[in-house]
Amino acid sequence: MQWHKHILVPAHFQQFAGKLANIAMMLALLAMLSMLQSIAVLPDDHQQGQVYKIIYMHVPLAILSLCCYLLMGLCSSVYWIWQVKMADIIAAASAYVGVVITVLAIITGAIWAKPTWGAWWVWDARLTSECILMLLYLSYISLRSTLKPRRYAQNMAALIAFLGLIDVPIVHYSVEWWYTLHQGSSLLSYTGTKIAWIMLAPLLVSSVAFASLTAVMVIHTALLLLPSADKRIAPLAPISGIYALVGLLLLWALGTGLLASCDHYVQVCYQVVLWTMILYTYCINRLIRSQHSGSENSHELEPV
Amino acid sequence: MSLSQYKRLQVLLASFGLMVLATVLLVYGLKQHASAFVTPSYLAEHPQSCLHSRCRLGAMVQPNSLRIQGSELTFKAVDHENNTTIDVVFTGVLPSMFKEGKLMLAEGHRQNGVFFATTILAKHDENYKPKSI
Repeated sequence: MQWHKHILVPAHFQQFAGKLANIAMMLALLAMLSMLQSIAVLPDDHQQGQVYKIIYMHVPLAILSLCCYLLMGLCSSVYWIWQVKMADIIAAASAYVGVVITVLAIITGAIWAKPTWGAWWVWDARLTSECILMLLYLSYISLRSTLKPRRYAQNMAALIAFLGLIDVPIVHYSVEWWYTLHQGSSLLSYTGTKIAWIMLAPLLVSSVAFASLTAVMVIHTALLLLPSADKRIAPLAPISGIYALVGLLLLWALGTGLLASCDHYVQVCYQVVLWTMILYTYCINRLIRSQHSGSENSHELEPV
Repeated sequence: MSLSQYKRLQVLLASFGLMVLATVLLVYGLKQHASAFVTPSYLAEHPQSCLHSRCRLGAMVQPNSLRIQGSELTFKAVDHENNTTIDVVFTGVLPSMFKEGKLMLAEGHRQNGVFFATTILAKHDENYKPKSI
């Protein structure tokens, strides 16, 4: 069997995705633990003191909000041209996860901005374009779930998602094109990275951690969105859901302990991020489980 | 690729091309207006700006220019590119990262060549390094 059938055929995807989610969760656990241990002992920053440690949540989340959009836009273009069912499902899954990640990036940014800038929110180009990114996700979700007939809704949503790709470079370059309160790019600046190595290494590790967590969330959401006819095979998803929930709760407990001596703003950020992810994973897996138990009631997911 | 798929690709590329064009026009059109602040040299070149409408001034706090008289705080805001300065007057609470020699944003209006600020925000740069180095 060729590898691409694992992803492109819904029935194969279901068997393959549960395993993939479990591996990603293991990776997330290891990376997140190593990041938590290092940020507990890292020295303070020369201008921001301890509050800069929010960077280890805010920056990965902000990067992932763009990556989720890239995935959604590319899958949408594949769906628009070739009408591959799985492309639409993965695009929709990354939209649901993407809006959560974007909101988390905005919230952690606000919690970081208050003690450093002196305001929760400013309408500068970076913050506004990130806000537009969130609205693009929401318009994709609302178009895809309300328009009738269903094929038309999926196609229109795919077109919107692809056109919205233009916002991704705007978010990235907004700090160079306009005067903004948001500082310039630290990681991808023209003159090399602007972060000391001792602070950069945990940032790369935490990016891996959050990327893996996002992958777990996208896979679970895709399993929920699969056409119900393909859900009669082994219910791998609920098991993978339990792994993910136990892993997240473990991270929450260990993180709360390890960050106990950190700045309050850092602790609040960690709690907000972890609880949002726990709640999201829990809800998605409850929905998957209720679909499995009542397969007669799941006709509303069938294409009309 | 079948004919219908080819047509769908054409629609996609054509609409994306229009989108890129619109965005380029938008970015150039908004060059000045989408910025979060104006600089002291912009205020010097445009004497009619910020007189009756509120605006945001972004500049460096000139070292050794900060004076506190009662509840009133005055300092010189300097454009670090060409050393144009403007006096800023402010009453209120400062963010903890506000320091001489650092960047700040002041929100307010201009009167008789002095900038009266109602809010001050601190701007920090993108460099991170441990305190001891």
